[in-house]
Amino acid sequence: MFQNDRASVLQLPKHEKDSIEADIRSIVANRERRLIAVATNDAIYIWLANPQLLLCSIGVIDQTFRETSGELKDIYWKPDSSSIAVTTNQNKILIYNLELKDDELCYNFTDPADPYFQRNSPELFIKGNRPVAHLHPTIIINLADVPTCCVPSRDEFLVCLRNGFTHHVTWTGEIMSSLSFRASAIPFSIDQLQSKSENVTSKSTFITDAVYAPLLGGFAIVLSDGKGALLTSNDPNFAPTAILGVWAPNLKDATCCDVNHKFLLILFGCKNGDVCAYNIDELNGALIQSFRVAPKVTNGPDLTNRLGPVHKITALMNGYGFAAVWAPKDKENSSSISESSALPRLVAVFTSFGAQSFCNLEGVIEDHLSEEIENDMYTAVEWGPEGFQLWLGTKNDLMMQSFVRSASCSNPIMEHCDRAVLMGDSQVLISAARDREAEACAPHSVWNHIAVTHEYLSSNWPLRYASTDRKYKHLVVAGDQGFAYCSLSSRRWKIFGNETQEKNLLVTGGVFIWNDDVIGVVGVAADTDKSYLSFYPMSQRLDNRFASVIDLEHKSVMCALRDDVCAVFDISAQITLYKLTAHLETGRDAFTKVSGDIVTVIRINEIVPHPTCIVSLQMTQLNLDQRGKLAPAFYSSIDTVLVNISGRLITLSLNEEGKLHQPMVIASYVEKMWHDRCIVSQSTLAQSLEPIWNGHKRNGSNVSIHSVSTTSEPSSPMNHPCSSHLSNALWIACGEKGIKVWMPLVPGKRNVATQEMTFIAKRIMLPFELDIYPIVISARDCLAVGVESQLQHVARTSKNGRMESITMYGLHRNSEVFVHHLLRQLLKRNLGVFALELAGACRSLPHFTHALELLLHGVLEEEATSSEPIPDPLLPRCVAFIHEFPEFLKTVAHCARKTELALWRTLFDVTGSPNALFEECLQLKQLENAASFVIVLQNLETTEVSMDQAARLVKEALEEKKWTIAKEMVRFAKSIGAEDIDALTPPPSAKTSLSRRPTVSSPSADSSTEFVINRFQAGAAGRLNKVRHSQSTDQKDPQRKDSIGSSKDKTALSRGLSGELSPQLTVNRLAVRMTSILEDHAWHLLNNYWILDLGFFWAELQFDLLGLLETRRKQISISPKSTNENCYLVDDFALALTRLHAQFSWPYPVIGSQFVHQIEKKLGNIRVSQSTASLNGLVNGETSEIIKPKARRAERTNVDVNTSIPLRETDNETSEEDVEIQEAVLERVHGSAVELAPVVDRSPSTSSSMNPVSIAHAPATPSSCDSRSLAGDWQNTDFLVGEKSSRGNIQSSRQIDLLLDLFSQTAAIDWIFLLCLLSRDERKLRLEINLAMVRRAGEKSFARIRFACTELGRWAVEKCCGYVALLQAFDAHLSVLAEQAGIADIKYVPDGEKRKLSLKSTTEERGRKRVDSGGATLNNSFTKQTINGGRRERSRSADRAHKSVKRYDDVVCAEDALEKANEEGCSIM
Amino acid sequence: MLELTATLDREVAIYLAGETIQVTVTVSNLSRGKQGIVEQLAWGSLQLICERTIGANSSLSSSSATSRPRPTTSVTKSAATVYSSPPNILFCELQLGPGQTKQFSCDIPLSRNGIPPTFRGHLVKYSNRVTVAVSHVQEHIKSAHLPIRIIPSVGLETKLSLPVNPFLASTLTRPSVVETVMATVDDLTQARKSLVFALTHNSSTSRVALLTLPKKAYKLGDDVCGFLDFNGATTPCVQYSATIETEEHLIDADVEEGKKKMVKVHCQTAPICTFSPDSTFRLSIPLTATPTFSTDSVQLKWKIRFVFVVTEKAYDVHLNGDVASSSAPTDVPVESFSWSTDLLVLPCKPQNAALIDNTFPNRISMTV
Repeated sequence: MFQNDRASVLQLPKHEKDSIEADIRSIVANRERRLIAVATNDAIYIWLANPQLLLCSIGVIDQTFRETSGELKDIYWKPDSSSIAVTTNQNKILIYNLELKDDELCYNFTDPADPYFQRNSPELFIKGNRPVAHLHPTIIINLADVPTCCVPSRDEFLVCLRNGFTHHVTWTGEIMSSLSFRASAIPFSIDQLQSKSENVTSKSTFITDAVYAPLLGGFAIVLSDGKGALLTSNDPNFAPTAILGVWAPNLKDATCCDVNHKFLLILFGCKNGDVCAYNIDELNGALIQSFRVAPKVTNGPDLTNRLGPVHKITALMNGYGFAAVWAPKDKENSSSISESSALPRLVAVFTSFGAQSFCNLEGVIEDHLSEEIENDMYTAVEWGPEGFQLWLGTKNDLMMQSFVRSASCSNPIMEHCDRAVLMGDSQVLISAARDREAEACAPHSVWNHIAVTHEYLSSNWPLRYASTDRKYKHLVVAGDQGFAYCSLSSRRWKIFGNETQEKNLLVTGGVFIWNDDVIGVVGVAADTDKSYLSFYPMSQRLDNRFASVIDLEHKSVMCALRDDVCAVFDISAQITLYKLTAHLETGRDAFTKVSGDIVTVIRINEIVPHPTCIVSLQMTQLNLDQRGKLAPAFYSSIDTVLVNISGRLITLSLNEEGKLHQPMVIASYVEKMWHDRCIVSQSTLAQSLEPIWNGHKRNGSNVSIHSVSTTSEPSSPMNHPCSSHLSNALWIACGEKGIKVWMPLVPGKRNVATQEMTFIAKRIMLPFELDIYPIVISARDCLAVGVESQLQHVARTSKNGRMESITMYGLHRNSEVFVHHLLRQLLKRNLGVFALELAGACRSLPHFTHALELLLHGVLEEEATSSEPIPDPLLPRCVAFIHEFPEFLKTVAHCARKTELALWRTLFDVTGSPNALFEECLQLKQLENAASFVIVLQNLETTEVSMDQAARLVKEALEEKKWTIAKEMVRFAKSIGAEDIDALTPPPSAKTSLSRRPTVSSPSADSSTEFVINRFQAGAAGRLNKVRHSQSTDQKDPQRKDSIGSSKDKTALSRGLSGELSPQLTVNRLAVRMTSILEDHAWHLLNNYWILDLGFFWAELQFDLLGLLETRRKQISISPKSTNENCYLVDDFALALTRLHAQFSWPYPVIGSQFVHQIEKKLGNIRVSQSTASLNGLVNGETSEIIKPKARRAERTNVDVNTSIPLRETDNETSEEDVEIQEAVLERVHGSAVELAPVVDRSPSTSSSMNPVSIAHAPATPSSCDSRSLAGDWQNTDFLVGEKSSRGNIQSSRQIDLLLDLFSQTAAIDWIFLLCLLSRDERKLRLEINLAMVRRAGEKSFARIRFACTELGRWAVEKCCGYVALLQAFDAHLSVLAEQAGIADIKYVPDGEKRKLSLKSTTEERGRKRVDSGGATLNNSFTKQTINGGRRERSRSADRAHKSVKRYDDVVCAEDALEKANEEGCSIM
Repeated sequence: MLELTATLDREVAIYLAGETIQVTVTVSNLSRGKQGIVEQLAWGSLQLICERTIGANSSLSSSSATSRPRPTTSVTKSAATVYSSPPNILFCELQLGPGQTKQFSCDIPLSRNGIPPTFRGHLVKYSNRVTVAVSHVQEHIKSAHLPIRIIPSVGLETKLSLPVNPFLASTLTRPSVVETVMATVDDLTQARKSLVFALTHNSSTSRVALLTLPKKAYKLGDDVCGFLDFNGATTPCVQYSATIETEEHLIDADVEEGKKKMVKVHCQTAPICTFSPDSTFRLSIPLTATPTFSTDSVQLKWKIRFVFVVTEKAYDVHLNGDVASSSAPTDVPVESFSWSTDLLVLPCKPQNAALIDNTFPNRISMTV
């Protein structure tokens, strides 16, 4: 029972203007629950249950009458609703006649003549029966004492008096004195057979509450001394002599009682707030306690010490639950009550066997409760029709709360849905498809609300049955009469066209959808009273003309469906199985006809006390034998019928001779059950089982724990629904007693030959507990799905205009993982093999790791905290079990982090030392888990060990680029107080009282373990806080990142960072060590030119890179020659550049076509060759290139070749001295082949001299301008090196910019140069590498980059001609700058012989190249050019004094051009 | 025989405008073994098309049809293509041997505000669908349509700022379209100030109820919870109805005034409140509905409408002798008053809509 609305308050019209308040004493519904009688202290009201309208009322206003008769107390209905009896607190009972005129209607809303004011919506026209009612006082019965309670029946009612007497009184007011008896005279015994009876000791004992329990054979009573009993009699008139009382054992403080007829339970409310229930022992008629529950509020006001006696219990008519209200604790009895406030109004709803499903205080914040009134409590409680309403009375108000319940109550068809389907009085709620929930937002509160059409409901309220098909395509509902159905996608309803047909059909046993196109109805015809099972095709109008009718012998109360077999349970306790067959009726309007053949009839009247007692009915297959001869079955795939009779789950099956086996009770106290086999048919199940069983066979008979392969691929849940254990398991909800699973152990599958299959495969019953009450148990993904009513606040405006909030209930689904419970139970029973199989089948579940963790945690908590030694501990077995899975390390690590430190030792005694686990993690590169273990190590191992391991982990993490882990570890190291890590240094603050040392050493002393644990815990608490602290700083990370990222002022940042990194004295040794590791790593990255990684490292770890680079700058400026001792210089610029390309995924430049065109234009008058023609036909070339991709590779080699044809050896890429180029460069080029395509196209036809690069070496005509000036003219170097699209992505370029910024702050001029080159940004270069930078970086460094520039130029000529022009432009700038700085003559000479040699050889190459390409004249011009260049630069520097820096280059270029125009034979270079 | 299957990246074909649909098209040759034949396709393409259908009852009535005949063919009904994405050529000259299967994938970015939402109104229907078309050499083009539900987006106009440190950008992933839209929706639907309406009739003196609505903006799937206070009312209310409805307004000069509007009720409650001093109601906005939107031909407005059934006099208790007995009146003269206010309904997460909506499968296949 759940709630999804707010209780609506109903005002009671006052009979007296001056009456203080309506003090509601009693609310009682009549037998049909259509009329609700409410008694206040001075009036009686008769309400219509729906709509909630007051039909009539009668007040007691005569003062004298009130004095003699007292105040009204309780109301009792005559079963035919014609009279009510009201007890008073004086010695009187008043009987009123209720005159109901069913043919007349009241509350007929009449519209005015003006159409403007008329109602226009059909919903506003209320239908349904609203009889005119009148109450007439008829009889006043005078009694000897105050009546305490009555039990009404058809002809008479029992009245219990305070003096101990009980009288039979007729509705006409006669007391049948011969049948009167006295409570003290009743013999009581503990059972109904042989035990000795005794009388109540005290004469003054009287009956305070009594309820008729016909199915239990008597009355449930509560005596004034707090004892509860069942009064039985073998005399139908209940003669005093024949009465026997049966004690409810262990019950001393009962206050009230009620009876659950379906489950044959007597419910007693107790003084201490408990509700306990008793059922009858079949053997001797004694009462046995079935359960005892108290209301629980987990998230609301505290109930302990405030819970008073149960004021009233009322069981649902259909038996699926009960509600109770409580009074606050008596003030006299408890002195402590004054401290805490009194109990707020409390009502709770429980399922049949005591699982709490709703409590009004759950989630309520006590301060929000309205101003506390003394003794505020619910004074009366009663269920409305079908349990969809709960009527509640207080001192002031009458309230009606609407409820929804699971659609599976008394409707077995809906028992195995994989979604929660709830029904209210007028709507059906279906939860969302679970497989789609993963990505949805708050799917637990998403419901498919289906409001039943008003057309149907207005005259057939309330709903009684709701069923959907398995695919949730259609919904069929049945109310009072007839039924209606709708398509869930279109929401179109179909109702009977003929209203008399609807009125004539009373659904008694349920409605269902069969075969997706037929509605099945088990009902009774109202006119003939004949029962039938009828089928209505959905394709047709809803009309009896199209119905196929199967006549039934008796009125049926329940039906079940499996495949095409329908089982019907009727009032003669007979289960009939029909095989349904569909025929398509031929004809013009063809429709489906259904015929049913009786398969079998099972009579179970001996085991069914009354047809009401049937709770559920299912057909299923319990026999799992797939081979050999078939076990006897009722029908092909149905070998067992499961019936739940009053909570006892019974299997009915056939024996070999085809006769019914003795019915077997497999579980008691069963409220609900789920068995996938009830819905999954044989064929589909067999398919899904096949792979599993094959798997079993593969494993062979000698299965040891290790041989069951957990390493086998977890199959996806789609094609492998779940293990046979789970899909064949029978899940049982037992209310307060938790959940049980009856699981098959499928033993025969392993050693088929030896073991004989029994009829029912061997099964095991495993109990487990869930925190939620399940609506759905999904065996497929081991999830229990429940529903809870959650409070939500709705704003309201109060009278004085202030905003207040009122609370409303909303429905939420919740779910719980339970596979770990099963695993644990199996392990406990030494069934590890099965546990492994089960776990193996669940491995693909997303929550599997979590389940393992829960398993370990649960076992650990229980066994480590146990006060007594455990003879056979489960923990080792459990750990061995988890060890079978690759998630082992993760599980242990997570478990350790989530458990108290005090339990760690127990854990690691079993799993092995955390150090070993740490090593394993490192080996397997599970660094996250390793990090968890470091925290453990820090607490369990010596300082040295933990420090070493932490350092190792950081190194490893840095190596693996797991920045987060490294960061976490560094932070962790920093968060540890120096006093914790370093016992040698005196703690700077003396506040540490908790030292780790004794706790670490103490466990060696085996004695006084308790003491150790205590101390350990004390220390643990302190340490845990520290650990948590470090975690909480982690959580702040994003903000921190943001703040750092957003601060433009990097110096401020570095200050903050360095401050954080070196808080001088307080820093601990580990932190110092961490810092040095980080520094080393930074050097390592820099030295290997992993600049992108350095960037990540810097950003993620918030490492003080600025400081580091500053050190580097200083060192370089001091001793520029001492490379790579500890101030890493860029050694191999070409390698560095290629690495940069590789790391930033930055495409290599190609020569821009514009540039080529321009040069071509300039040179056009000298050379017109074949190749220039191909340059013009670029587009054609491109397309043809795409079509012939095979040619590409060879051609690319040509690209390399054509710049250096004489050097054939460079063709062979593998012979290059630089391996890196090959590895990264080529792949990249290949990947962005399109970028290179223009070059590629040209190459085949390009003769050696006609390459753009070789043009550079060619003698220019006087008209031509040199490339340097060209570059200067074109500010955007894109022109030089191709289109913008061939750059890296925005992200990379932003990264480069940031790094450039960093390097420029620290004057790392070599890296500035490289990054500018990479981003092809000459402007940036001019901006960054200026005079000030040169000064800062030092002359030598500058000389180095000049050298680098030339060296790269050489490299570019060979490897990437796209760079040539760019490098020339860069070089120009550098040489200008060198002149400005006056250091043009300083040349960098690399150390080492190799360098020199290579330099020499390259110069030679260059020379040779030029000779080859340009000829002798060229050579001359080359030498000339250098001289010229030198002169030019001087002139430039002279100019600089009075030219703005910005425009300077342009001017110079223009000058140069002029200059060059005057000179002859000037080269472009 | 070739089987062509188009599968979307989602289980249910529901997308927000601005998202990208990823379609995987699998072509497999169904013939097996030696006798199988090599199949050939000339080309295959994929395109998203939005069609608008103007309801027949509104504008195709004889009068308007004669006044302005719409260019129709037998194929297109009265549908007009209002949006079509650039066609994506999947393959050309595809050859598949027996049993061979090839997969092609394609992204269709949905325009942020260029595509009308999928909408099934009474007057106008917008249907979005992905059309897969293939052609055999020298044969007719064969096509299959996969209907897509597009929910209009909000909040995509604001430019997304990139995280500042580019190195942290990979760890701080950029919000997706859905996340951006949902952040905007969450912001817009936050309850800030309750709306309070004092509902009166005739004159301001005759008060019926005080209505409190927590907010004006909701998203699909939300519940509209309201509170009605009848305390202090001078006119007793015996029943009220609260309705969530959409009003479809046709922006078309040719249509006569009466046919321009169409109201659809989505959720309704009509409780009796004769004896209640106050009442709460909960109306849910279905996940299958279309949020508030407007195009150049239709405007969809969401409203909450109330009808209050009021009477002159409340239930009266008469005195009769020494006991005060009363019974219900048989006839209650009532008048009803209607009142409505606009609501803003915003999109929900498409994955949430997929929880309930089963009408948009994510795959379609055809054999050619």
